[in-house]
Amino acid sequence: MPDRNKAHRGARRAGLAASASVVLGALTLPLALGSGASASTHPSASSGGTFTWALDDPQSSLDYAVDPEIQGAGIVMSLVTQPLEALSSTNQYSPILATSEQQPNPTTLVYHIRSGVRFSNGAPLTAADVVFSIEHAATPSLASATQMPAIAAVTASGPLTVTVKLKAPNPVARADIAMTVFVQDAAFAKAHKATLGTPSAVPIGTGPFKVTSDTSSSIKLARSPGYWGRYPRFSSLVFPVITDDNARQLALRSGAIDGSQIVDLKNLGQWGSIPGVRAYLSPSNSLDLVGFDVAKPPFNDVHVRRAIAYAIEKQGLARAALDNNVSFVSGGLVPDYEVSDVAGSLGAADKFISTLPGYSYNLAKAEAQMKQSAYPHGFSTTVLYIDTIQWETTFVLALQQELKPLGITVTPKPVSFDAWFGDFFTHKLVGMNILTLANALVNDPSGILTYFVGPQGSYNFAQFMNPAVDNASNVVNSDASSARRWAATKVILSEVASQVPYLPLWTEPSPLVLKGYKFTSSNGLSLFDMSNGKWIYEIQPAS
Amino acid sequence: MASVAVETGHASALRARRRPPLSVLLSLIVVAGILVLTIVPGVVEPYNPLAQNLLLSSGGPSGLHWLGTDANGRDVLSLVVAGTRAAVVGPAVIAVGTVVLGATLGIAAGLKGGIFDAVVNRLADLLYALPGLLVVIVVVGIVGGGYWLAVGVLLVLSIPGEIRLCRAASAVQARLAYVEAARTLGLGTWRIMWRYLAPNILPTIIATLLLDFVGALLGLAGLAYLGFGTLPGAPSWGQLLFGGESLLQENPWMSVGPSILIILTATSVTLIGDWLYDRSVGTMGAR
Amino acid sequence: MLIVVFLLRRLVGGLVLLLVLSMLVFGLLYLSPGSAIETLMGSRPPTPALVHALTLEYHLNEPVVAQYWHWLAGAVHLDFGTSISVQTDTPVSTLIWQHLGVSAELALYSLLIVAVVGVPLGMVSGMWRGTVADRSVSLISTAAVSAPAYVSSVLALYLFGVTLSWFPVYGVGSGVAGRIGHLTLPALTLAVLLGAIVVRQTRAAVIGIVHEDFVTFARLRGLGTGRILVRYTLRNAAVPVVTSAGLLLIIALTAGLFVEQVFSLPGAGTLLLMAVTDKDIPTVQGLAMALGLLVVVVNLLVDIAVLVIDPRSRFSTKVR
Repeated sequence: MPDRNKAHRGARRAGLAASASVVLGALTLPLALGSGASASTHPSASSGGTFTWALDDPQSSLDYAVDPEIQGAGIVMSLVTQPLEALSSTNQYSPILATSEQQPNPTTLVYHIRSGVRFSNGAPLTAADVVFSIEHAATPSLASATQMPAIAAVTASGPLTVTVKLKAPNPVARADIAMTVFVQDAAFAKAHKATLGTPSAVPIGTGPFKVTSDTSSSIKLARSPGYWGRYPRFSSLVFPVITDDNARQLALRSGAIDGSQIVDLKNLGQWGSIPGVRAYLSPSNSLDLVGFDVAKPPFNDVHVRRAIAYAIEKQGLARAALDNNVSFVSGGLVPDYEVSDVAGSLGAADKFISTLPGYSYNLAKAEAQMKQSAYPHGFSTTVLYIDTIQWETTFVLALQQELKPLGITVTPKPVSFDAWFGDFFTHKLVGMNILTLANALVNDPSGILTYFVGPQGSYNFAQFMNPAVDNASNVVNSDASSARRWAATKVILSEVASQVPYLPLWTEPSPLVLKGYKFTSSNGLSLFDMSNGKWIYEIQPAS
Repeated sequence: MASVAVETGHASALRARRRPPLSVLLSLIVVAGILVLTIVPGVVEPYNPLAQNLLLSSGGPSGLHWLGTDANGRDVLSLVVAGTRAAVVGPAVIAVGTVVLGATLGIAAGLKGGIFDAVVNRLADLLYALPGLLVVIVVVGIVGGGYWLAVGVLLVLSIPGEIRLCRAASAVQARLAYVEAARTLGLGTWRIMWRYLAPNILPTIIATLLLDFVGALLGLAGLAYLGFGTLPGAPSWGQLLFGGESLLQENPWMSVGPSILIILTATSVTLIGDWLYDRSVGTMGAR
Repeated sequence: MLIVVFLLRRLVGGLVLLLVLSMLVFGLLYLSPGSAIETLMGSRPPTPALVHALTLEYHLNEPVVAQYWHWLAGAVHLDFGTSISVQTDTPVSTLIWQHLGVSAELALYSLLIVAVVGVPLGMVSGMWRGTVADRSVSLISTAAVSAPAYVSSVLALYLFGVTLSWFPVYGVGSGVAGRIGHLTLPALTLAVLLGAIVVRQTRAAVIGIVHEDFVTFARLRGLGTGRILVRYTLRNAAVPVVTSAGLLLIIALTAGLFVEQVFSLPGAGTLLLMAVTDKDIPTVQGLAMALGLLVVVVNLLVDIAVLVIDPRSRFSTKVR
């Protein structure tokens, strides 16, 4: 396992995927898991104390551009290096370091920067810092670049005005920038180019906190004096790294931590049984799917792909792997709400999606498809799975059994999280693969759907491309007309549904727990608020 | 020399040890049971250990599934039984391999002396000091090998201990008259080794064989617990232990089952080994 | 003179071990699936700039022997490069220092418990060989040796930590008292295993000694058992016990890894597992060399300690 101990690192990469943003309206459902009893006697529950939130993996860098993970560097560094704007779960923008934003034309964004703001080292915030931070996030060698729009130029058009020129119109450019750009002191960053993000050169920001200590076992934050806004109730924050789900549970039980995300949804019940714990199950559109390399045999045969699609029993798998804590996705590739904006309404989206083949479990159909394929007697294949992600392990073993009747021999092969995603991002994956938590938060098909198709699709690990789809993908990503974009979206969805380069499974909710505290909103906390610095204001003593 | 009283007390203690004590008898029964589970697991398994039933995922103990079911709805009791083979076969290979290779090198070194002895001895000294399990974790973890790679590396790393032991034992024997006599008769080193020397240090060898087995059993299960050197989904005690840890409050039996088998097997084999060793020391002293 | 030669030989032996180990450890870079540059990049995007920087840093454009030489030159100065994935760009030596402390505290705490409880138990057991007390101690120590650390740690954690709430179940605590409180249960768990070995060693050593003439003679002279124990047996039995310190270290390192893992202690074992899982080769290399150095140093210290405790060995060093 190899480190299975690091239980499910996947979840933390909620930001893994893509582009920015949010969707679901009233996103979160409170889940009265625990005994609703609240432990009001928590020692650190008073104002001005320390709040402790466990991370499930050591942070490889505190520069968000290097390691853009919402529940990792995002949750910590959004309190230190602030974004320009915050995107709410209802798709509303609220100003943070940018007091306003204008789009004079489809390829230009103008940000007006807040005046009188100082970094924690005393230097004033200038347009140059913002220009640097945007360029930094878009640097191709940094991981954040995949979440940024294609930028032609960023200029300081005034002392406190920044203009971003896009290479092409992009409906989610503003969301991407709000999500991905964390503003830091440019002079400091340039002076520490080689070590930026390491403990010796933690980025300097304008937020309410500054980093006082950063080791692989914990990160500590203290109030940054002279913060321009309102301080959160806590005077210091601690983020211990606890890689193991069991250990995190023990830490919460013993009061060593006040909150955490739950990594293995299967264990939700156990967390809830800890006295005084409140569990929140926030729906997210973190998508789990199976994909096939359509460029190479045997998965270049559409009948093989369809046969497998029919042979996978999603309901049983969801129960065994995630204790049914999922929302199923069928027809096409993405949840309906991600295309509802271009469709005009959720109803219109649903109506179209219901006409697409859904591939519900049907062994007879699976066997029939297999007979039509070039491999009527089956074949052998290796399926990689990330063994630190518990549901993938359960899933791949079940897959092994479910594909046996088709004559397909599955050999599961464990790989590390980093190894799999390394191959994923460099398009080196072959055969059949499981993708976990592809996170499209934007309520738009260009948010994630187009990532999976065409030569430009950075997640297109199925190598799925044909002229119709490629063209449709371009239209979705840059056309100004909603009607044309919806028509193009329908082309992509239909092609994916009939050709099955991907088989969508479900979306996983994002489970969070608090002990002795509660979220201000009974809806809990949207995953999205976790990386814009607002989350800390949403936590209050449970009493 | 020593007082009579002490002498007789000592002797009677030795005599009493000839007959296996109760703990050893019990151990023999346990080992026989483990052998049955290893050779014909199907006789004891209530279900096919690999048969999944996703609807029974992570179920607690019941009349149908005494130790409950795992995440894929497989019967835990059957998995524990089926895991015996992986738990026992690798360690057996390691123990036998260690003894055969280690004893050959060690005895030859003790008997021949000279440069061969020096080289073997240095090599053994070098490797002996290494924490074997950590080496295996690094090698198997980095290379990404499976069960047999882990077995191979553990085997190589347990040979030095055997070499040192056999070398010391044979060096003592080599100075005894019968070896000298065999040499004068013109017998070759190999002949002397196997014909005359090996039988004389056999009890020591058998005792260490069993201890090597226990070490390998605990080591391999530990590796599987950490997720190294085991096939995904293959029944193994270590993997069950790991899977059971997160379900400890819901179904402790998933952890308790393999734990008991690991401890019982290891303790039994150690007790038998100790007993054999004590006996061998006794007989050698009497010689 | 002989002693100096003996110690020098041991020292050279240790250095050779480290050298051999360094070659194997360096080889890990090439054992790992994928090319060296792929391994060193980890999950970072493979930009030309990064490829160039890594090629220069690890001298990948030079022959393997030269690469090894550069690496070794760094290793001698405790420079093992920077971490790839555990904590990107942090010097490996910094990571190791951060984690070694907890492991050392755990090990020392356990050894203290072992010295106070294990050694006396073994002596009593050996002195009164064959009695009920001896048999119980023997049986318990056999069972304890056979109970692997991953089983005993989980058992201890859930029984004494979660169910009975006698001990903290998570973390290393703050302040001296907090640290001791948090490390007690893990140290006890480790001490049971180490103690069982020490009990067995001590018992065997004492059994070998109680039949020696000088002990019998002392008995005949009417010396009390306690006095005999301390005066004669302890000193003589100490040699085999001290000699087994090398073995104890190996077991402490191995079992300690499991104990750290189960009790979530940020020690060297935890670091090793993280690094291996993340395929963070520089960290694995650095840690492996650090542990190798530890093993060599401890074995050398054992040799010296034996010479100090047992004057007879000073004349027999040649035999070894």
